[in-house]
Amino acid sequence: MSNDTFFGVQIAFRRYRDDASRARLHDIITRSLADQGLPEKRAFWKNVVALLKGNAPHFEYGYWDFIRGEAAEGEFESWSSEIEAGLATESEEVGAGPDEVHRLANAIGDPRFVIVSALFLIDGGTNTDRTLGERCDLPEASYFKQTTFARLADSIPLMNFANVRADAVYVAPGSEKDGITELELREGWPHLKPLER
Amino acid sequence: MKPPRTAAEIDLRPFELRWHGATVEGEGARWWNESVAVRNPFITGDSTSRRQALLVIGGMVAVGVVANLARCDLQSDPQVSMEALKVQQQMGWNAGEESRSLIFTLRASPTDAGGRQVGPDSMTTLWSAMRPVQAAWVPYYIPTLFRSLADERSGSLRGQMSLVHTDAMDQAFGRGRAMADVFGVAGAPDDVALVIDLPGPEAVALAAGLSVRFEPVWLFDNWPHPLGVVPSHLVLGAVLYYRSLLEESAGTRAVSPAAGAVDGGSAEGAARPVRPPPMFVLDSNRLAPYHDAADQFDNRYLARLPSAQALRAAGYRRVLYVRTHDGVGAQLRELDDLNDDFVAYGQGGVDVRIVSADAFQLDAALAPAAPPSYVWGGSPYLHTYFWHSYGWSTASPARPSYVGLARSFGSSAGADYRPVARPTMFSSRTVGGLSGVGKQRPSGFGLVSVRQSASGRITAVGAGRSGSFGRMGSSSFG
Repeated sequence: MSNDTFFGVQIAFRRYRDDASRARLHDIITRSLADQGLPEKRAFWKNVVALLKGNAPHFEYGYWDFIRGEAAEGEFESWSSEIEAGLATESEEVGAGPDEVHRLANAIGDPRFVIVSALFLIDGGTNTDRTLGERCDLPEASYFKQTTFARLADSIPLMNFANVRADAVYVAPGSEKDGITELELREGWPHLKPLER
Repeated sequence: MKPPRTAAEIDLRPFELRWHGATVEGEGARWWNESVAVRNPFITGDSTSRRQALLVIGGMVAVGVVANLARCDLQSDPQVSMEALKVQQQMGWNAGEESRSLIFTLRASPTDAGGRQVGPDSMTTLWSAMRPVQAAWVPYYIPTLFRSLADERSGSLRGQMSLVHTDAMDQAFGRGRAMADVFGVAGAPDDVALVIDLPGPEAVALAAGLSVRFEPVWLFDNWPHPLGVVPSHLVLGAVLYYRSLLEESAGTRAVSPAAGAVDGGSAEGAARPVRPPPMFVLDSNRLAPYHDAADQFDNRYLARLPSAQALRAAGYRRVLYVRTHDGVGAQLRELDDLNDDFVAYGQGGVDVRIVSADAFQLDAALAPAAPPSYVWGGSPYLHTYFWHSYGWSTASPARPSYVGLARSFGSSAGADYRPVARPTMFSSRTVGGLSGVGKQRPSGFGLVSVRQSASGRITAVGAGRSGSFGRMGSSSFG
């Protein structure tokens, strides 16, 4: 039986005019593509979290999960495969004009959300597992508060990455020109919940 | 192909990049910590033996991830589970089953409800034609199913489509008209939104009947498939059958002062055009039973309704949920994926009640030769006291004896329903003794097995989650 722990968090924050958060996330990911050592991994996530924390007042939607035991690895695989499939646009689609749904969406709302997903598969029973477990042990009423997501983000640099079996980060949209409207967010990420302030 | 790394390299940089993608949709990266594998007692020696041992272990515990690890060693792409809709949107509506045809188990009609022929344009434009008139409800409209007909790879789907028209749909349509009439009787509240949750074609027919008074907000969130668990092509056939009628209703409904009349309000209220209330239309077959089988494609999906806050903001403090009795003596209640929503409605100040569609019965007092007419409880007298039975009437009861009868009938037809939290496969869950938040969609729900290349491209589709694979030609991608 697997003894892993899955920790996943998705945050949608509002992107204001001239905000460079998405571009900076792009830089962080692009510069860190090579195989990584533990110090590099830690630095990578510190940079991602610092950028997220800078947008904490603008966190508007989110979702998170913390699962221990045999379902953990499947959950990591499920999250990552679904998100990656959503990003697997064929090359001929890239650069094509927006379809009618996008036109409709853009007519209804300004493109202004960035969605960041962070996933971890952690060795069960380790200090990292215990620390995350304590930080995720929250009253149910707090699950979907803005402050909770800031706390969850803060938990990431506390990990000892030697205890992390796998990790992943995803950012949407994929370019500065494209944006995610509130309608697209609701339709494309229906599980994301509005966060209480 | 990247050569296997040595143990020293892994010790220095244990995180190995396994996936990276960057498109207009988004970008991301996924790494795997190889040093954890080093600690595994089954694995010794150099990197080659470590990789081989991983294959053995992975075969026992996690096909998807280990297949990923083995990408360089196996001739096939890794097998992963993927959302059925995503697969169809990438591969085409009949992904993996291009040689199979849809099976229309229901009666087809050569013409629509208005007696007209339906051309291909009616299919490709269906998704935009069914968009709510009121902008407030557009964000909740789910055009997914209708858009399957507009996809450029759906020529064979359009070619196989038939208009669906059955006796059960006619009954549902009549019941919809009767239900609309109930909202016109004295004392009817004007802050009620409907949620219709019937088998697809009947849901569409009931909505068509109600469309004289209510604005449909369609919530069909999947694509049809030749082996689909949910027979959504029948829903499409029903919508195409009623399309012209629905469009006509939208045109007249938008300027109708009906609600001004039903709320018994002032003359000023009766004279001004008002907003038609929404009806959210669901296919109860979305949660059809499924067992991981090679001859089924899991195109099930979950309902997505507005929050209590959104309903209240739009002026709706009551929801009437339209169901049918599942069996004799069966208790009326919401489908499992709506339990959390309805409980939240109750907590958020939105009252929820159920009305059984089959509580609208043929008027027994009509002459045999008269056209069929449905009334609540099968009696025009009970029909008048519908709102009293729900405790939602804004008028004083004039005939206590009928009110008593209506309440008695209503209690068995959904008036006594109150949403109560209950464990379902869609409930939030707690794992490992710690607080956790469950995904609304349970693991394995609405997923199919695919083989996926390193670039994220699907190369094969299996019908069941663990079913056999039909190899897809690369020509699918142009």
